[in-house]
Amino acid sequence: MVDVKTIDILSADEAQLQEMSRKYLLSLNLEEMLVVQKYFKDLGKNPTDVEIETIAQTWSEHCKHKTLTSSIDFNYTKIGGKPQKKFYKNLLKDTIFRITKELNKKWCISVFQDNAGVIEFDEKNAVAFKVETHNHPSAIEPYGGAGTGIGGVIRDILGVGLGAKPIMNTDVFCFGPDDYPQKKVPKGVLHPKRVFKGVVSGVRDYGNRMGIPTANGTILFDDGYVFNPLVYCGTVGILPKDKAFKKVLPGDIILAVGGKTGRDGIHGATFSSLSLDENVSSTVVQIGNPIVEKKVLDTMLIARDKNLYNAVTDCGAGGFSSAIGELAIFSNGAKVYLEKAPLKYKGLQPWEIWISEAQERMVFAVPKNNLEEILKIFTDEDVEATVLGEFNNTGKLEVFYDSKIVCSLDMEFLHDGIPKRNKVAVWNEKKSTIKKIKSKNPASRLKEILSSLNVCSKEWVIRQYDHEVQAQTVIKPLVGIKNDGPSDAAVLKPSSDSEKGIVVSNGVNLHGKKDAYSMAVSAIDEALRNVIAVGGNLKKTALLDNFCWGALDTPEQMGEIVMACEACYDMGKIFETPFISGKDSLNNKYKLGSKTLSIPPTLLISAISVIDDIKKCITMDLKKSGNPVYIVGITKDEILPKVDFVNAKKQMSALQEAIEQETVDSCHDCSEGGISVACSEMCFSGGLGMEIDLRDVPVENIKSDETILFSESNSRFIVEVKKEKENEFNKILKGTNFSKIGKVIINKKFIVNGIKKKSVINSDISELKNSWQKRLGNYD
Amino acid sequence: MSNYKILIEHKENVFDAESKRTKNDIIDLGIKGIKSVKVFQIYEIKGDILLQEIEKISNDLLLDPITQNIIINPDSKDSGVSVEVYYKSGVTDAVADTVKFGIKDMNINKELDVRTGKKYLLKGKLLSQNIKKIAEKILSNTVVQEYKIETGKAL
Repeated sequence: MVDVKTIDILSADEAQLQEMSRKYLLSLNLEEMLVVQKYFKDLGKNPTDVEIETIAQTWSEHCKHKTLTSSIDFNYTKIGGKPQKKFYKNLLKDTIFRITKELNKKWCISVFQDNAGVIEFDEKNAVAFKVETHNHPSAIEPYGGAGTGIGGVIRDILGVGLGAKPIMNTDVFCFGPDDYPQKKVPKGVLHPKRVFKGVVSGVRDYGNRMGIPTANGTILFDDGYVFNPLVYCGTVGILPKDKAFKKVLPGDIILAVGGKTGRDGIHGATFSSLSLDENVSSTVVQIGNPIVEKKVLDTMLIARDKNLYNAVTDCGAGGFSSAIGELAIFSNGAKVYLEKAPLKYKGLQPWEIWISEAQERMVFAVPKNNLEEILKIFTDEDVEATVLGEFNNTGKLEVFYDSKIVCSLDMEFLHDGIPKRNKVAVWNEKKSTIKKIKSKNPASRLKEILSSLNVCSKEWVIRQYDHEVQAQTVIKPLVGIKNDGPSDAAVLKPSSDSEKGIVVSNGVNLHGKKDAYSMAVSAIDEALRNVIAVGGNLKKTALLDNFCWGALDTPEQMGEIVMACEACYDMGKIFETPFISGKDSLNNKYKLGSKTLSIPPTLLISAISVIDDIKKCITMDLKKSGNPVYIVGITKDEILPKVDFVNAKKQMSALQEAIEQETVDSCHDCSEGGISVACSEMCFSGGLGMEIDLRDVPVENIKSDETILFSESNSRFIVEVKKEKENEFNKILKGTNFSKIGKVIINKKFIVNGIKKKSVINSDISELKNSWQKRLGNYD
Repeated sequence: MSNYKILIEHKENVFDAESKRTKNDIIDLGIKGIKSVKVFQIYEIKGDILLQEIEKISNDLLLDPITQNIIINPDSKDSGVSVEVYYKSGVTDAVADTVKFGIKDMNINKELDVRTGKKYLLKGKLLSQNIKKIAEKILSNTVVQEYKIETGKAL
């Protein structure tokens, strides 16, 4: 029975409006509900359920980024300074977009406007990169949630411009510790280990079946993610430059392609704007089918290359309502006939068909004359393609079901009617306390760090992913003589007739628990370090930002996200790296009784760099005994690492030059565990020893061996220089902070000579490797 | 209208990773009484279809004859506890959709209903509240799946 309900919004008072938003899972606040009420009052009618759902989807945090684009009154105080004020008209526009605009890089083709960021690759081709989160679905159904997370971001790449071919996936996860006590896990929450295993197999099964290599990622473990894990999935694609933009003309046919529509994933967009609690319904979870998506991918690229359509986009959050609604902006209107949509089963109401987030669906705008030809391409390969209606320029989004009109909304109101939010934010700079590293025995402390969850080998996860398919992965996630050392970044060679390559890396950390600014600068620094370490090109590196935040109810919490945005601006300016795409997932919190548990503020930075010659890339494993070992960067005693804005870029650019001039045999960045871990990893990955002297490490206010060894200061690299090129290396690095600290030795030992004492560490590299490898993955 | 239930199991002496992993997960949960776990893939096919056709579908489409055995419409009750897990109605069953495609490709053009599931045969000293715990914490996700517990002759 088709049943289109009319919602009585006209007679509702404020309390009833709020109740309405809650009852129908609209996630709209009172101010927004009042604007909706006024719109319908002016029309003199009550909305249908289809209309109210369309507005809720279009105005959802997920689609509109209401918080990050709100205007903000910001009050902040720096240490030793007076309280200051700043006003943002639009936080994102005034920070992250602003730096991209200021840098105005010619090689940025399409930024912050399409489904993904697009930069130039060579004369003919462009690279697209997008990273998404799929946190709430993965918390309640890890396998399906993670699988559809990767499926969704792949569709973003298929839906950028006129469609890009996916060439690589990335994945970054944040979980609770796998040994978290069972007893402390409340009802309705899955144990972190189950989430971990489910998410990994979900990403594996979807990515591998799509024939896309998963070649870069990381995992952070912390108690803060037990109730609300984070699942970031990214995809890199390649497309011809002349296919980077879409248009929709009045008269173009709306063609739905791919999976059928079912009741799965209803309210995903609005669900992601709510806190999790123990009551969830199965309809918010989507189940993926990679085989269907693979067929869509193969056929649509044929249609793209024959120029058969004007535009394409994916059905993500909000389903048809968002996909068709957004394409309709180009032509300024559309007419949709919902009864034509192919369904998985009978009994769906029009509003359910309209907003369902069933997977593997794309929407195309096809000129009438090409319809027959494009339909043949799809049907020949058993890909379902259905005409749903027509784009027009009436200024209205009209939806019909069995020739009855069920939704008629003004495009202008739908897309621009949302009231702007204003927020107040406060930030007081905290004094960075100094980390007291106390340990009698640095060698056992090193082994402890090597076997800690956030440092240990992730081979168990990496090996489940196919990182070789398509045969373009030049530097793989695992490197070294035994192919089990931790690579800094992945390098792809997407074109068979040139040596040009793409470097992809990431940066993410837990400093957000204490200071969001330090967290953000460190994440960007780490992503850039990883790019440089393998031989990336800082002059052609772009960044992606993915904010995952918990509650944002107080001005202090808003202040943290403001500072993270400021960090993005500052770092972008210093390193001249534009941001090209981003996404935010707020409300990552769990309601446990009367308590609200928020995740640590977590910013994932993904970096992508285009390089001219992949043959000059290097890996992190030691290559040759007798080679001198250098450190680049200054080691400081700091618990919240900062970035030295004066020197950091100079150091990285010089190191890049040294690698390009082929003076370097191996290079690894210092991150968790500092110098000690970086050197150990280089040793056991290369099967060679190293002897270093801490007296030669450039430091700032440090007097203890432990602090030098374990400090996590930013912008540092351990570099194995070719013995015969040592002079050249020194010449290139001249004027930056760097120093020779030791050499590669044939004896398979990691030897550290302290400030006062010799051999403060003298460990077999096999022992170190064993500590690093044994921790994770004894699950099967 | 006929109704077939097809079970697929690993042959004895063939390494069965899923059964082994499931057993380890149960031990991890703190339930030490578990002795063995055996996992079966279930396909339920409904429609106007003959047993010969079902046998052909089973052998040509669903089975890997080198490592697996097939049981059509099992009748004997198992010893041990059986937990069967299915998707709730309305949840997309991608494997079932692919099976339908496969059957069509075999030139069997009939309207069929296909549903997939898993059957776990558990043996050991298991208290009934522990069986429920295993079913909910390891074998199913009650957000999208439902499970059915059957206790056999002997435990």
